[in-house]
Amino acid sequence: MSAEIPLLKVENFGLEFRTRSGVVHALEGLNLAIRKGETVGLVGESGSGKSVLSFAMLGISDAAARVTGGSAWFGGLDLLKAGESDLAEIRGREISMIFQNPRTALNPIRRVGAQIEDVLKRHAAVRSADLRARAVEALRSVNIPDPERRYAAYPFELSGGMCQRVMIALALACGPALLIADEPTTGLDVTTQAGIMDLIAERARASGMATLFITHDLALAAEHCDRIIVMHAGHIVEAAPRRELFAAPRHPYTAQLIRATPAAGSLLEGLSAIPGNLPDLRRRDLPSCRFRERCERASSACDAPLPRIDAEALSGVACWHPLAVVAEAA
Amino acid sequence: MSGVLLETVGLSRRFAVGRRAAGGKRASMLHAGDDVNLRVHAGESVGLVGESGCGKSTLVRLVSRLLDPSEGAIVFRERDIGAVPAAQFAAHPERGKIQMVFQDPTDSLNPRYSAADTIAEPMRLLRGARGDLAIAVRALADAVGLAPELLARFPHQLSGGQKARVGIARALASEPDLLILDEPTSALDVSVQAIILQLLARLRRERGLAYLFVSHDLNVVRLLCDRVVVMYLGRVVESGPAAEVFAHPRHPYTRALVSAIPGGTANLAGGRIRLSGEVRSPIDPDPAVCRFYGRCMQGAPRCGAEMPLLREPVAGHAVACHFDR
Ligand SMILES: Nc1ncnc2c1ncn2[C@@H]1O[C@H](COP(=O)(O)OP(=O)(O)OP(=O)(O)O)[C@@H](O)[C@H]1O
Ligand SMILES: Nc1ncnc2c1ncn2[C@@H]1O[C@H](COP(=O)(O)OP(=O)(O)OP(=O)(O)O)[C@@H](O)[C@H]1O
Ligand code: SF4
Ligand SMILES: [Mg+2]
Ligand SMILES: [Mg+2]
Repeated sequence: MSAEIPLLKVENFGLEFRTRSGVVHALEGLNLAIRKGETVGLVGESGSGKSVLSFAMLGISDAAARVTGGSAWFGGLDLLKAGESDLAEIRGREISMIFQNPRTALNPIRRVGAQIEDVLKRHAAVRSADLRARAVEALRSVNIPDPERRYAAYPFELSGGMCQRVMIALALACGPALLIADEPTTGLDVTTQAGIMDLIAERARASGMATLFITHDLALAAEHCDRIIVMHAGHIVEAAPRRELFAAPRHPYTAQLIRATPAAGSLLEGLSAIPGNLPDLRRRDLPSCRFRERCERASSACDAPLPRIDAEALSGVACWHPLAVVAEAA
Repeated sequence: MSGVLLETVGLSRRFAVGRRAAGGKRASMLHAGDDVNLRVHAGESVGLVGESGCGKSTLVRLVSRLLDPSEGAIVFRERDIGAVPAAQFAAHPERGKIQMVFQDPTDSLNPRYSAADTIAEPMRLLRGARGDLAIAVRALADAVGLAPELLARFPHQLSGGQKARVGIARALASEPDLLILDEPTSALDVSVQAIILQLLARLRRERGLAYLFVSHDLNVVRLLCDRVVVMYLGRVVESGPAAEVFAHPRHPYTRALVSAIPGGTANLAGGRIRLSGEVRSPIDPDPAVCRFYGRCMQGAPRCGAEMPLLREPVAGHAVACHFDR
C-alpha cells in the first residue's frame, strides 16, 4: 500500500489570515495523504481549520489568506502554487467539493436540474439529447422524490436537506477522482444519510473515487471511513485507521472528543464538554502544542516541537504524552 | 404540566409548483404540511423529527410566522396569531416571545454585522440603549461558548459552528418564551453541542423556556426533549413521550428511523431496517393513500385506499397506521 503514489499528498502546509486585529494562524505544519478509493474522515472541533484546509486545496481561499509554506501534490500539480487556469481546470472535474452551506452554494436563480446539466455539459461530455435524463437520474440517485418534476425547482423551493442532496448530485456528476465533502450529511435524517453514504461508497468501489469526509459526527465517521484524521486548532493531532482510533484513541484531545459524543445510552449531565476554548489563533506566543492549555497530561516536555506525523503514515500522534496503546482487543 | 403555550389546529401549507397551464388548469400543489395538530406546553421541550423534506422547516416557519398558512390556526399564549399576515408579524406584540434559530446560519446572518452587533440588536430593541450592552453581549457569548475575541468578526471570518452559536445567542437575547431551533446543533461539534444542550436544559429549568426542537440527531432529541413528534411527507405519523417513542416506536417509519441511529440499534430487535421503494411525490398526493405506502414494509392494499388517521391507542402516544396493533 505504501508503495502506491497517493492521489493527494499535503506536506508541511501552513496558512494564515490577515485581519484588522492581527494575523490568524489558521493552519500549521499539516501532513496528510489520500489514496485512490479511500475514504478519509477529517474530524475536529468547530474552528479547527477543516473548511479552510479544503478551500485551500481548491484554490478558493478568502482574499485575506496567505499560504505560509508547504506543498499539496495532486497528480503532477502543486495545488498551492498552481495558477488559476490550472486550478479551474481541476475544480469540478478532478476534485469536486460539497460545501458546508449548501443553499448559499447553489445558484439561487437557476433551476436545480439546469445547474446539474451545466456541470455535465462542462465536465462530462454528455450528448445534449441525454442531458435532461442524466440530470433527472442524478437527482434520483440522491433520493429526491419525484425527480422529473423537482428538476424544475429553484433552490428556495427545496428543503435544506434537499439542497444538500442537490449539491451532492452536482459534486458527483462529473465523476471526480477526489471528493471533498464538508459536512455533507449533517442536515439529513439518518435514513437519507445512510443512502448518501452508500452512494459515496459505491463510487469509491466502482471508479476508485477518493473522499475527504469532513464531519463532526464521530459515529458516522466510525461507520463509513477507512481512516480518520483529527484536527485541533489548525494542527493535525492524530491519524489512525478508524477501528484503532475509537478503540484506543492516543491523543488526549481525541479521547475527550469521543467522550463528549452523545451515544445511545448517555445522559445530558454525563456529556463532558471539552474544557476551555480553542486558543486565540492570533496569539504570537501560541504554544508548540496548541492543546497544551486545555490538556490534563501537559508537562514541560510539551514545550518542545511536536513529534511529526508523516503524510503517508497510516497512524500517528502529535503528542509527547499520548495515551497508552492498549492490547489488541480481538 | 402547566398551560398550553402553543397550539396548531389543522395547520396546512401548500405551495403552487410548476407552470400554470394556459387553459386555466389549476397549478399543481405541493403539500408541505397537512392537517398538523401540535401542542407545546409552557416549559416543555418538543422534538420534531422526520425525513429530509417532510415539512419540518415549513412547520416551524409557519409557527414563527415567517410563512402564512393555507389553512388552520396557530394559537400562541391564547391569541390566534395565525391570522396575522407574516409580513405584519414583525410589529406584533408576541413577536419577541417566539424566537427562531435557523437551519443555515450563513443564510440568516447579516454579512455587514459583526457577531457583537448581531447579538446586541435584539437587546437594544428590548431594553433600549440602557444598561451596558457590551457586558450583556459578552455574557451571552460566553454562555453559548463563543470566545470573546470572535465578537468583532464578521460572518465570513467565522467557521460554520461559530456562526451557529452567534445565531443561538441572538435568539436568546430577546428573552423568548418559546425558542424554535431548526437543526441548531448540526453545524456544531460535539463539545460545543454539549455546552449548548446543557445551556438549553438550564434555561428551561430556570426560566421555564419551552422548545420546539427540529433535529436529525435522534440521540440529541432523546437527551433534550420530553415529547417527540414524527413527520412523514407533510403529516404527523406518530407523537408521544420521547423515551417511549424511542424505546417502542409504533409507526413503521419511526421504526425504520430508530433502527438507523448510528451505533444505537441495540434496543431494537431485528437491526437496521433499510427502506426501499420510491418516496411518494408530495405534489398533488392522493388523499386516500397513506403517504408511506410503497416504502412501508407493512403496506397492504388497504393502505392504498384509505388514509390512516392519527389515533391514540395509548393515552399520550398517537400513531397513524392501519396496522398499529
Ligand atoms: N477570512 C477569515 N479571516 C479570519 N479568520 C478566519 C477566516 N476564515 C476562517 N477563519 C478562522 O479560521 C479558523 C478555522 O476556520 P474553519 O472554517 O476552517 O473551521 P472548521 O474546522 O471548518 O469549523 P466548523 O466545523 O465550525 O465549520 C476559525 O477560527 C475561523 O474563525
Ligand atoms: N417556497 C417553496 N416553494 C415550493 N416548495 C417548497 C417551498 N418551501 C418548501 N417547499 C417544499 O416543501 C417540502 C417541505 O420542505 P421543508 O423545508 O419544510 O422540509 P424539512 O422537513 O425542513 O427538510 P430538511 O430536513 O431537508 O430541512 C419540500 O418538498 C420542499 O421542496
Ligand atoms: S398505513 Fe400502511 S403503508 Fe402506511 S405506515 Fe401503516 S402499514 Fe405502512
Ligand atoms: Mg467548516
Ligand atoms: Mg429543514
